[in-house]
Amino acid sequence: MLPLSKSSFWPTWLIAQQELHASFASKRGLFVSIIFIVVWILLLVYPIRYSAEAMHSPDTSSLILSGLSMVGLEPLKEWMLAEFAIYWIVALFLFPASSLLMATDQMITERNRGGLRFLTLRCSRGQIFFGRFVGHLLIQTCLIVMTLVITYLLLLFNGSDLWLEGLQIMPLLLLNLVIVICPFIALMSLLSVVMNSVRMASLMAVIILLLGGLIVNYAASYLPFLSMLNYWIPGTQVAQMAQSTPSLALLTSWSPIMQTVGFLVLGYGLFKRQSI
Amino acid sequence: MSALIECQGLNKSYGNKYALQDINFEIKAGQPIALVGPNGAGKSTLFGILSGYMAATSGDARVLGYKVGSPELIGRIGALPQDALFDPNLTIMQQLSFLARLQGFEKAASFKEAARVLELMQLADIAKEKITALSHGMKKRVAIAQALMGSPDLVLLDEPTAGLDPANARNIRQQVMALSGETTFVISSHNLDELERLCDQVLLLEQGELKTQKMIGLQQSAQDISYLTLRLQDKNPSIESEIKKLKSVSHISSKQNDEFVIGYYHRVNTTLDQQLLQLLAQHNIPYRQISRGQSLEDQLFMNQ
Repeated sequence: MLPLSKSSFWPTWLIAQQELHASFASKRGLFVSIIFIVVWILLLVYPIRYSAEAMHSPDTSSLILSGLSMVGLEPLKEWMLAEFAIYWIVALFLFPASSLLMATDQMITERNRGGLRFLTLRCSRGQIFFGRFVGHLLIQTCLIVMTLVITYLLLLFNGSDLWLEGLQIMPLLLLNLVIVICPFIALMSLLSVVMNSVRMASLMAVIILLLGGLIVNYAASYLPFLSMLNYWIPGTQVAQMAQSTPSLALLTSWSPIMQTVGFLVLGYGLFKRQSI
Repeated sequence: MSALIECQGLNKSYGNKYALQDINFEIKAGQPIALVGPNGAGKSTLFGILSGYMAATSGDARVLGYKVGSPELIGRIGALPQDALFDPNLTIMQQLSFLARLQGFEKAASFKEAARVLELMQLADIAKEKITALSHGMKKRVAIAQALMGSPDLVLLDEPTAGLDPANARNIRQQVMALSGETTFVISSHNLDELERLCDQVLLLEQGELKTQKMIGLQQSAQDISYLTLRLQDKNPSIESEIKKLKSVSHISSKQNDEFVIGYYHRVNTTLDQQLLQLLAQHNIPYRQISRGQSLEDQLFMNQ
């Protein structure tokens, strides 16, 4: 077997590493990461902590639980770990948003600057394209791990006895969240290829995610087969996931995995033929 | 030996406009090759296709026997792309060592390789700078340095000395000459004097078509006519008729009365240069230079 450094995956890994380096080691990347962590700490210390305490408290728990039932999040009351229950809801919506924001410029600026030309002489376009995707996936995974650890510390800080259950649920939450963000990053990989500016790529992502459902449903009222396009809008399963437990939520994974593969295949196909 | 570069029926069009039209040529590895032509002639497009930056509309382009863009060519072609810039957020050393690692160097060796090519370009002291801190000329030299990493078989340099000061342009010419044994350079430039000094062979592109492919300086012996180029210190139109009287001179052309290109039958008269010097001494005419052959500019454009 070839050592990793001689395999064709090695350049992909190097490019992914470079993305990690640019995100966490450069001043700009460090600044964005610090902002991200500060926002999460504020979320954990105020809304999540107070919500969790309220769920623990016999005085307010019935009120909270009836509120959850009203918004369709009744299964959360089954969670023994209130901190992670609230984290689950917040993370399911925030990480796709942060993935969109942080993965927008996978190649656009570099292509406009001509910098991709230095890379294509040394590795294949596939290695560049998938390396960038893997790099951004790793960046978001690192951020998810950091927020999970902070949430776990909050659980301990709140004096919970369920420290072992907390450790057990963390990998499941991580797996779910990574699967959820995959199609968002893959969509941005595709848009990085087809769009000429970061602003246009962001705008197109917003149109696809916010208006895509409306447009597809309207078109499907005339041409019913177009309703199949709903399967290609990332995040449509998130509301359903929020209403279930992490282990049950895994059953919806086929949809984000299919979307990820579809976006990556299309993006790579276009990038392979693109003039740079 | 198979051709280093081989193009057959190569076309590239943007909509209805042809950037390259039916390009056919073959180049073998060896001394540097010049690619010349006016702005918009298709030089950068040809470089772009050979480097795999863009696909040809039709036709076939091969480098080292492989179709351009093939995985076998990864790391074997170096290129100075026109107007390409490095990442402004990372240092020069970080970026060059990263490129070296992609090219297959181990981590420690990648830093050494980056330092080596920076040293070649006399830029060792800016390794820790970011690209934004450098002048235009320095940025270009960094880009040339990346093209030389890993000693590729073929290096395509698109206007390497444009915008450089004379000392640095000279250094780049010296590096090209020094590395020519192991690497074949294809150089696009508008500086014909520079190309004449560096290159053995020239390709002339005009309006997307290959007009000429010839060996520089080889034309004379093939046609039995040799050339001497005489540059005078001051203008002197009357000397032209005196030169014409010398034995074996077939024709003479004058540029602004201070530079003459003299065509002659070298088999008939092998000492015309000495006779020319005597003639100048007799008339007390100071000269700047007498050189054998025509300038590249004259070779390419005099008969058009």
